Order: sequence, then C-alpha cells, then structure tokens
Amino acid sequence: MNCYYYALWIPQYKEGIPDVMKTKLDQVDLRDRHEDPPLLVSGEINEKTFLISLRYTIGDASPRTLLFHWINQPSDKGFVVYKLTLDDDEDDFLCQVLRQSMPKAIYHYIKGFFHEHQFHLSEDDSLLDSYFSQSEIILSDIETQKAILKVYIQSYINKYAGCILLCRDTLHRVSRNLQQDIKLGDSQHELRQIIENNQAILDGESLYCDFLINSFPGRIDSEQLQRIYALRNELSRYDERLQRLEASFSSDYSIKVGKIGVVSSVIGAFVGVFFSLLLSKCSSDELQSGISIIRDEIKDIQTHDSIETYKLQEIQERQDSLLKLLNKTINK
Amino acid sequence: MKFIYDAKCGKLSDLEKKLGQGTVRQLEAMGFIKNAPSSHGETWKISSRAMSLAEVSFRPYSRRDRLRDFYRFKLPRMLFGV
Repeated sequence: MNCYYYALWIPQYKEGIPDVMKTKLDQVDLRDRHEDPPLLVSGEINEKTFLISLRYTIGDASPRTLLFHWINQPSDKGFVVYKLTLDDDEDDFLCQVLRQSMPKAIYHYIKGFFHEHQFHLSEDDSLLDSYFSQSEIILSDIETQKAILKVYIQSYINKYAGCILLCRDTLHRVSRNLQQDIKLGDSQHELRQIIENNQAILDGESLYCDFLINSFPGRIDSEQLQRIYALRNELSRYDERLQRLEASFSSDYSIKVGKIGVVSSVIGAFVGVFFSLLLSKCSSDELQSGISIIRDEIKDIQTHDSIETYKLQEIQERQDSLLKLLNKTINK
Repeated sequence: MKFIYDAKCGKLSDLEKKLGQGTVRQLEAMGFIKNAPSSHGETWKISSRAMSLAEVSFRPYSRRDRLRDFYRFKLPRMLFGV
C-alpha cells in the first residue's frame, strides 16, 4: 500500500479558502479517441471533510472508486492538498498514471468541485499541471511552496508563449491573404477571434497569474518572473498590432458600406418621388372617373327611389279605399 | 494548429514527436487540446475553442466565400475605390 500526494491549485484571484461549488459532478467520458475503451468518471465531494470519491469505469470492467483524502492545511491562496492511497494490486492504467502524477483531465475534473469558469467555457479550460509528490506535501514549507509555484507559473509561461505564436501566425496569414486578395471575410473573422482570445487572457486569466505572483513574494523563481512579464508585454504588443489591423479592416469596410448606403438612399429617394408622382397622377384620373360614376349611381338611386315612393303612395291609397269599403260593409 | 486541426486526436507521444514537447505544453496551456489517460498511454483531442479558430483559418476558400468577399469587399472597392 502506497500513498501519493497532490497539491492542486484552484485558480482564484482573491484570497480565500476554496469553497465547494458543487458536491456532485456529472458523469463524463474522458476518452479522446473513439477506438479507446470508454473512461467514465463521476465524483462526489463531502462539503465538510473535502473527501473526494471518484468513481470510474474503464470499458466493460466493473466500476471502481478512488478516495482522495484532503490533507487539512487551509490555504487562502487556493491550494488544496490530497492524499491517495493505492494498493499494489490496483494496476489499471488510471492507477498506474496516478502513481506518477495526476492526469490533467482528472485535475480538471476535480477543479469542477471548486471552480466556476468566468472567462471561458469549462471545455476550453487550459490544462494546468498539478504538483505531485510521493512524500507528504507541507504547504507552509518554503521550499515546497517554491517547487509548487514553479509548476503553476510554468503553465502560465506556456500559455503566454503559445498565444504569442498564435498571434504571429495569424498576422502572417492575414497579411498574406490581404496581399493575395483572398479570404477577406475569414481574415477579418479570424482577427476578431484572436483579439477576443487575447483579451480574455490579458484582462481575465492574467488576474489568476498575478494573484499567484503577488501572494508569494520572493518565492517565485526570478527567471520565471522576468520571462512571464516579458511574454505578457510581447503579447500586449501583438494584440495592439492585431487590433490596428482589424480596425483598419473595419473602418475601410464601414466607409464602403456607408458610401453604398448614401448612394442607395439617394437613388431610393428619387425612385420614391417618381413613383409617388406617377401614382398621384393615376389616382387623380381615376378619381375623376370615379366621381362621375358615383354621381350616375346617385341619380339612379334617386330615380329608383322616386319610383318606389310612387308605388308606396299607390299602395297606401288602395289600402285606404279598401278600409273605407270594409267600414261600409260592416256598417251595413 | 494546422496539424492538430487535421489530425483531431491521437496519442500524446506522437504529437510530442511531431511538434515537440514545448509546443504540446503550450497547446495544453492555451486550452487548445485536452488529454486523457488511456490503456495505450496518454491521448489528446482538439478542443472546441481550437476547432472554431482553426476552421476559420484553414478551411478551403469556397465559391460561397469568394462570392461573399466579392459582394462585401471587392464590389465596393470597384465602385468607390476605397
């Protein structure tokens, strides 16, 4: 029976002991390729003891449960330390990997108990490395802190370096497209996506990195610190270049659309005036003929009406004479 | 990006051989690939974020795109010369 220790950082940018956001996580299939057997994982956490029970099933095998015991070392910097005890006979591939480190996918899953994503979707979360040790991790130990911070700061260095490469590639690709006058709409869309991505990192996720840096003054490797600031400045410069390119794209396009709008509205106004004049002329002719028709109709109605009135009078007279005749007959 | 967009998923060791460990760590840190343990070693899969970015960058220039570009960009340029 062996014990394994993991120091997990729950990304946060304010001091505070991590809170449990969800006590139960949905089952997920962690496998990446369809040809591999499914790796179904579901988990629960005890709100008081932070004990995590991770249930997993590999393919058709029967489900197994791993218990991650929280080592009670409250850290208001977002660190949680877990201990996993594995028997020697537990030798499926997940246990084998856990004997060497915590797989990023499992770390990402466990983060879900404590962390809600503010700057991106959960599935787009960056994969952080966790700190692993076969001996007990003491968070208050300065050397341990340095070793843990090195792992996490390196993840942010990788992130910034990757984003710079992406910006550089995008600039080259978009410039080439503009020169060749192809994929203009896609280039504009691509620029916007990269700028959005950069903003999420520079304005959002950098807060986490800054929190780590500021929370442990003097504990972060000076070389790493210099590198992270240099990379961040470089990313900001690339982002400005991309924004300028996108702005010129947008303003050119807006001018073009604006001009089309002005010309279209002038043409529209002329067409509108022409048709309204035409319609008004037509309608005045039709109105005259309509009025004469209505006059004839009124005359007809009046004539018809006078005939009807005459007939009514005649009927009335006949009715009167009949009444007289009836009265006479009755009197007799 | 082009490689992971074309391949979509695979073994992590193969990706490291192809792109180098540093680049793979960068892709992971950017959230462009996910990875998982498997019986054949660690595997990787392109994330939805990387997929949407790469689709815009690397998809072929279709007739529909040409028509859209002509209508949105080239026609106004011909008419107004901006």
